[in-house]
Amino acid sequence: MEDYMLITHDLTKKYKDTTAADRVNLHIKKGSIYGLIGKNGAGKTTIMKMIAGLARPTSGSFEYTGFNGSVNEAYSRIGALIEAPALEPNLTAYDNIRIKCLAYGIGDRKYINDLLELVGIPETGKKKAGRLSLGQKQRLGIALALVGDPDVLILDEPINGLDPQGIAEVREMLMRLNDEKGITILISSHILEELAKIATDYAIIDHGRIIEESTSKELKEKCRDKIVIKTPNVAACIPVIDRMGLKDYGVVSDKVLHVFEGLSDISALNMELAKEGIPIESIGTESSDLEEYFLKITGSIPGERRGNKGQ
Amino acid sequence: MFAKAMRSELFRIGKMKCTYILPVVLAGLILLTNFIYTRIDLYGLMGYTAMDVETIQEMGTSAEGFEESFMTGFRAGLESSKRMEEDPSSLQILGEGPFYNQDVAVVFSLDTGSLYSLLLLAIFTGLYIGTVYSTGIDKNLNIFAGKRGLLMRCRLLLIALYTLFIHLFTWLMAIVSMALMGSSVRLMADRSFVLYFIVTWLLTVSFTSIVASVTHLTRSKAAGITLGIILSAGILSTIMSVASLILQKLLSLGDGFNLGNYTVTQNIASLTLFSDGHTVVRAIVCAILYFAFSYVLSSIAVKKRDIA
Repeated sequence: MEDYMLITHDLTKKYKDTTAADRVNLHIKKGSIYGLIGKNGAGKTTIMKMIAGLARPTSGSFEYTGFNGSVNEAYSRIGALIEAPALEPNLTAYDNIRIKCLAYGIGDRKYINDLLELVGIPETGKKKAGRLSLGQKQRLGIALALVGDPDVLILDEPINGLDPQGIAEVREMLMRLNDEKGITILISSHILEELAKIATDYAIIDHGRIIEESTSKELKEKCRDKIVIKTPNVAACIPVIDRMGLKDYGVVSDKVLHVFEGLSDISALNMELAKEGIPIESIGTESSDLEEYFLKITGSIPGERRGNKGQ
Repeated sequence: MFAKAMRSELFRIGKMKCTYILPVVLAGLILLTNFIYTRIDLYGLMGYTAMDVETIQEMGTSAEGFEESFMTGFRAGLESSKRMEEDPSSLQILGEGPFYNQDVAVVFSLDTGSLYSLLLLAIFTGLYIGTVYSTGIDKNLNIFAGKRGLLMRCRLLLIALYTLFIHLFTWLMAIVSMALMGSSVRLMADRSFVLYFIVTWLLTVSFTSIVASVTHLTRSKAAGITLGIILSAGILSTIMSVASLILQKLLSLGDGFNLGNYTVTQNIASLTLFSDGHTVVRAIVCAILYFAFSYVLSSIAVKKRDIA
């Protein structure tokens, strides 16, 4: 059995007539970087709020299997940045962090300065948080989430408002935290390309529901350039593909076959299949990045909505 | 955990500007008020002679003496107008005010009854609790996610302590006022003063808990502060009077019934160092009941609702 940090069981949140999260089942492995992908209003933030203890589920439950203690103990080991950073605008960055530090029993000035250094805003000095730039506020929000050296980081759109250099720095920082300290990170972002660079696992959410949960490896497979063969006789195709020396292929269903190499030789493959008398409904190349894949799977490209399992 | 929360919240209070500005404003208001009561010759301005003042002080408080007092005041007013017409330079503003020779305790009760501190404490409470909602800072404190009641109790306790500070500060300013403007500083820290101090503090804590609960319920600084101002400025007193009259008629209550006697602010305003036992007990019961009610409301709002 996998070593999980957090498992949710049919987690549901309803606001009057709206179901923001609908029977959500997440399986977040210890030490993973788990990316939540979804459109605006898909339910990402609601899910994050529930597992961070900020919102109560309407039904369902979650368990921090990574901790032996109660959920209250787990809350003390979670750092969260959900929606906009919660800052006291009239206080400096240092004082904002100090409020949280005192609540966590940390009185060390160096600790706070190190955190500010870590997130790249050591120079804000006496500048009030309300006067920081959007990017600086976001970094301060991340610093706040890191107070208490959490085992789990929940970050909702953490790179919002950051410049490209800032995005790269935050990405590196998160990877370092994950790598060196083993922090499990649950992260959502609209910039799927960025998410793709760090996430080890994904859940795709649409209308409050998880429509796919997969590892990075599985998702990359789905997003690779490939030849898609649609035929009523998949089994008959396999010897032909083997004979052509193509090793990298996968059976998606009893009617669909993906071949990930020889893309430039699609006509030769088509000819070989025809020679064997295999009926082909369609054959063609397909390529998509994570964004395209996401749009397809959530039905944002008309007629492209798909089921849960790929291969 | 409670101690950590206290330290964190204490730090936050320490960083709020209003924590320091409000006592300064209060000091200014108290000094000004006490200056009027100790150094402005109010009786002189009204044309009272020393004998008139003596008459009013001796007879004015009893029902039998009311007519005599009224007539003395009326005659003094006429006399004063006549003198001013004849010789405008005879008008004397500065001199010994009615509280010039009073004890500090009496001046303190006057300052407390003026409800300045309530007005300022409403602002403090509204800002302190309201900031939690306007900034969403509780989102950062996941450590209390499962113990929201603890954080709320910690905040209420700190408000109560700040209220105590303001109460002590009011007393200190009464001492300063008498030292600067009175005839002498006589503390009169006897049993009646201690009881008055404690009961008015309890009522003030109860008042701030009402403001806090409204702020919790509405998640709005403005709502809590507005209610606090309405209550402390006596804006509801007319409504209270009319409601009292209606209740007197509907429930056949005696003429002495006044709904205002069962409000926190009216109790603070009407309580004196010499109030009888019944009035003091009523004030204590009001303080406890309003606090308990506000506490329950705040608890429900904080525990049942989502943080963000």
